[in-house]
Amino acid sequence: MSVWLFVGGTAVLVALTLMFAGRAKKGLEGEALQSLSNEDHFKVQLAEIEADVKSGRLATEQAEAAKAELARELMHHRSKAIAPAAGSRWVGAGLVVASLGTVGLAIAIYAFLGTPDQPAAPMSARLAEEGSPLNLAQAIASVEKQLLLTPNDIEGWRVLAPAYMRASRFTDATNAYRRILELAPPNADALTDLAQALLFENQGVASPEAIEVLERAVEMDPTHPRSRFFLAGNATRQGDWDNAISQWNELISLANGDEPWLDVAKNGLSVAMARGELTSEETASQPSPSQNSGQAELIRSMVSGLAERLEQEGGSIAEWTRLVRSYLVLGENERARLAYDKALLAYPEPDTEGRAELDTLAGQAGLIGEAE
Amino acid sequence: MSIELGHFALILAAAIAVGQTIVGFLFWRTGNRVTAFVRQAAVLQFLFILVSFLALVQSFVLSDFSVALAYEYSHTQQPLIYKITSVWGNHEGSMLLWVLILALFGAAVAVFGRNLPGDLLALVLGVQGALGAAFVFFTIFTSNPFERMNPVPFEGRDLNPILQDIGLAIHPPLLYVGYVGLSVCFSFAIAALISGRIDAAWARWVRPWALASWTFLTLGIAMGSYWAYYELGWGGWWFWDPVENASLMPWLAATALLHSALVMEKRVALKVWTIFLAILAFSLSLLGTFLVRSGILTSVHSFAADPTRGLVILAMLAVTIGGAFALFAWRAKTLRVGGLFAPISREGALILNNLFLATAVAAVMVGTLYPLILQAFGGPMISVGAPFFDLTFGALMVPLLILLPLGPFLAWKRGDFVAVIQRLAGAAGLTFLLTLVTVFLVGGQVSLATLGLLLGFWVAIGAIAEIVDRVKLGRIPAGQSWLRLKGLPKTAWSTALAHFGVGVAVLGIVSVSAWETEKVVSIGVGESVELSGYEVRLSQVEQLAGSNYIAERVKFDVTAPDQSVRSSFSEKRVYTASRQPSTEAGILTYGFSQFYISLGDQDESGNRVVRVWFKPYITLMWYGSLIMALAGFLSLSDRRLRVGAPKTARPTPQPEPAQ
Repeated sequence: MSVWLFVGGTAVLVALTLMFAGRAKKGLEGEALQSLSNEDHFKVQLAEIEADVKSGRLATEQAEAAKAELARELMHHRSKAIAPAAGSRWVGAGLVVASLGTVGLAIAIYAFLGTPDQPAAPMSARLAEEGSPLNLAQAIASVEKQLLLTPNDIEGWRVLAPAYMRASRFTDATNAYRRILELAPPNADALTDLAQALLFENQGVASPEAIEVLERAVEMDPTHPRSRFFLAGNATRQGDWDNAISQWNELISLANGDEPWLDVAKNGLSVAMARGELTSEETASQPSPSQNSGQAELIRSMVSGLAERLEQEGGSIAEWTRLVRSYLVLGENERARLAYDKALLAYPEPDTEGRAELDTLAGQAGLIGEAE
Repeated sequence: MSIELGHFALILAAAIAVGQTIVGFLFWRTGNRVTAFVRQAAVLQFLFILVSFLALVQSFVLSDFSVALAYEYSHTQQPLIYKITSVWGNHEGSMLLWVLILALFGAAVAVFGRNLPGDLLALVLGVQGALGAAFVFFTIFTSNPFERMNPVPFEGRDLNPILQDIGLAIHPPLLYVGYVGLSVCFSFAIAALISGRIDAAWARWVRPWALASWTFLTLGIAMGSYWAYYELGWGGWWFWDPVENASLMPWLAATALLHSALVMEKRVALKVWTIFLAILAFSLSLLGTFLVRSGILTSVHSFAADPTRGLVILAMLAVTIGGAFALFAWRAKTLRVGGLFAPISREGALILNNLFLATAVAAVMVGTLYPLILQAFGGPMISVGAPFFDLTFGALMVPLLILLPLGPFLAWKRGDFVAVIQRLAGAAGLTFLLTLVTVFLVGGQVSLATLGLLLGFWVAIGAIAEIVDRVKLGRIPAGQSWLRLKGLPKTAWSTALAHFGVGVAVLGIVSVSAWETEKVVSIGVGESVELSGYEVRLSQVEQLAGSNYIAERVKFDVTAPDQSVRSSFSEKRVYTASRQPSTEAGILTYGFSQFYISLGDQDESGNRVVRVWFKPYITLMWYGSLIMALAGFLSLSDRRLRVGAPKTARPTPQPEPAQ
């Protein structure tokens, strides 16, 4: 509203100023002034010639010639009298119309183009806004800068590495986790963090290095669920059913029963067992080089069964979370993202129970950052 | 709210410009009320564009990303100076700066033009208003800097790293003042054509504007050249890039205009030609704006390509330039031609100067536009490079520079060529001597460089000779010479100074082109490379964090031939927001020469690729430009009206009386 007040006020002021300017010197006749200012010019030139002669820069004869030229110019100028202008009756009205038209035009265009209702949003206001998320990139940049100067500060790297993961900068995250392992004696958690970053960097496919790191983690702490989870998932992915079954079993034996990963683990176990039986039959009859893809297809068909059901009939947020996680384990990040988006459609309130877990999962997998 | 106020202020300014144009053209002959109206409108137009510009600056400084432009081109962590310069580090903002300066010139004419004939002033401001309306509407409708964002992003996308430099604070404003200042000359020319007369006051008015524009163009181009030299890391200072040519063409035309306006102010001659040049110079400014702003050229200047903008600018270009030249063709014959003069005279020399400069404009224009036109008609993509320009432009500059020192020695109306040669004999002798000594010291043989040196020394010494001759040094007692020296008008000094600057710049260009040395090596920490007697040791590599970038800084210790050691720092930066890299060259200045170190990538062995150049006397070309600009300011500060007195047919019988 205040914008329109200003617009209106300014418009009135401008219109008045323009009209007033037009009326200010009404008494003076323009033509008289014109010739005056032109003849002034000749007078100034004449004075300059005199001054040059006086200071010795100009010889008398040259000055005489210059004066003669000047006189000829002046005579020519006077001979060309300016015809007085006609139609000045309309000038007054014309100026009023022009003044009003000018501000009218401005207001019309502004009404068409302007966004008078949108408030300003300077940085200070955005920071003061309640619940404003500390900008990730900004936070990363400031920590990065600090770490350049104190590269051995392990706490800094511990802050930076998960931030890279959230920002989907997996290569940077890998390097940061490596740096943490260099700076402190390794433990299972740190190793698994690196392996997870390597997994994400490689679109969910475990590189030999990632496996080796995970195995080191299990070696250091045989009761470490996260490393075992990734190993079991990888074995399932690889179609190494026997290994997968034993890995899933070992993992499930570590559970208390309320872990968020337990559902996936049970799901993985049943897939591995079902496929394991199938494969042993297949292997017996006709060993095929395209085994792996066949197995992956079967797992996919199971997952897609779940997906289809959820899409048609809906489901609990835990089921959606499982679907997203399954896609992630399969390395199908695009589908995981779609599933996550659909889950959000089904449960739009961020406070819904279970959303935190879903969001954390999606965030770690970089589904949130890139979707924005 | 201030953003919306800025937006409204810009629209209001456009509307005022429309009113100013219509009133100016319809009622220009009807007296002072109309003149008062357009003057008031011109001042208001400037004030409102200033308000809108300040509103935009504020939104950048406060990182208000509800303004799309601020979001696209700035970042909260930029230092304050770059937040401000980011305002015009993009298409929309630089258009706003352009129209701000245009309105500033319009307002200046309105305020300082009180002693102009009222009808002339009304017409001039009418044309100025038309230009303002066209460009402000172009800005509002195709490149609105006040477009909003909703929802508001938290962080901006940051400015192109190459532009995050003090150069952005200096180069565009200077260049724009130069470009846009020519609009005043243009408006005066159009007003003269419409009214059918050129008053004596006309010339007196046009020359300062031409001079001011030329001065700022000179500074802007020199600054742009130096910026490209130190920022782009290629070690070059002029690339005959179309964008550079776009600024060189108006400069050449403005140089010609400056000289012909001189003739017109002092001798009331060359009127029609001066009008033609005034139109040409501003048309070339517009052409430059079109080439840079339309996006048909890809460079750091074009920011973003948008075909609509290109078409609109092209249409504006066609109307303005086409209309102006059509008007010229129709009305020019009604103007009275001015005073007569002999071929060998100051006037004649200035015409020669104009011919060479105009031909140079044509040469540069052909080289710049030919590839574009060929491509537009489906021809092959070709690029016209340095060999073409060196040959054509160079060939035109050589005779111009040879004749340059002769001009100021010739008398107005009729001159004595033989006498001038005699008076310049000393300067010629000194030129040959200096060139011989230089070539002997460098150990070179007779080559093009020698010819270049001859030209540079000839122009510079010729300029000094003019002052020496004017004070009759050695021909009259020293005390009297001293008095004459003190009494010399500022315009005499500025002429000599400007020509001296040209000579200095030529010397810099010639020596760096002929004797520059260069080496590319791959070295590790502690290793060194030797070039032209200088030893460069890569002494240290460190990581550091700037305000909105992180950098790898490499320290080089440079040992000069005289065993003095100085340190130079080259950087490779990565800007955190845009993740764009940028390099900073290390430059050490020794006298007028520079040592230039540019950092390349790391090779497999961990060594760094380093390019080093030794550029003898390179700074002379920029000092020369600064001297030229200084001369421009000096001449501008001379408020007196100078009359070029004709030389009478009879020779003067006795020496002029001393003061």
